[in-house]
Amino acid sequence: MEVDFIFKIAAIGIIVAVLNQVLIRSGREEQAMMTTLAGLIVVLMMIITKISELFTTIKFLFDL
Amino acid sequence: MDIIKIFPLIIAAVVLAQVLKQHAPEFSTAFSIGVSAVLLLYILYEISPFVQSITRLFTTAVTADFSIIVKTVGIGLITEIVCSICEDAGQKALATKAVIAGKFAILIVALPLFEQMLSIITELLK
Repeated sequence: MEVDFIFKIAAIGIIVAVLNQVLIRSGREEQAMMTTLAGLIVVLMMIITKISELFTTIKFLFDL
Repeated sequence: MDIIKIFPLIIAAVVLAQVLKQHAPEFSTAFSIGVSAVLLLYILYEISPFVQSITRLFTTAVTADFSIIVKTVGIGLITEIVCSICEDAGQKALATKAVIAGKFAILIVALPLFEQMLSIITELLK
């Protein structure tokens, strides 16, 4: 069970949240939004491979 | 299947999801999807030999249509997964669409069984 994958996503989320706050407080709101979007895209790419693996396994296991 | 490994992981994931929801709400949904994917992969990997041996056993011994029952279980499982993810993200409309799609998928898969049953009934009535 790939627990490090889970903690990687949580770590990216927390880092993005911290950067978000720092950038907003220093007045650069558009850069904060771009950082959030970039982090979201990275997390999405990681998750899409996992989900694809999950549905391939389900399809193979249940003969769908 | 080591539930002693699964349950603490779920508890830790709940706590982390709360933290993320507080500070970066978009990541909370993605995080819960990632945790669900990892957990389900582990569970499916553990029950894989069991499901395959049961399918082989019943397909040869009882009826050739047992795969329909297995497919129904699979469709129900993935419908439940997607529906719960949607509801957690607050998208109740998408969740109901997923349930509708799952219902029709099960109906379509089970259609041969209905046809067999109807033909048996009509033969009995003759």
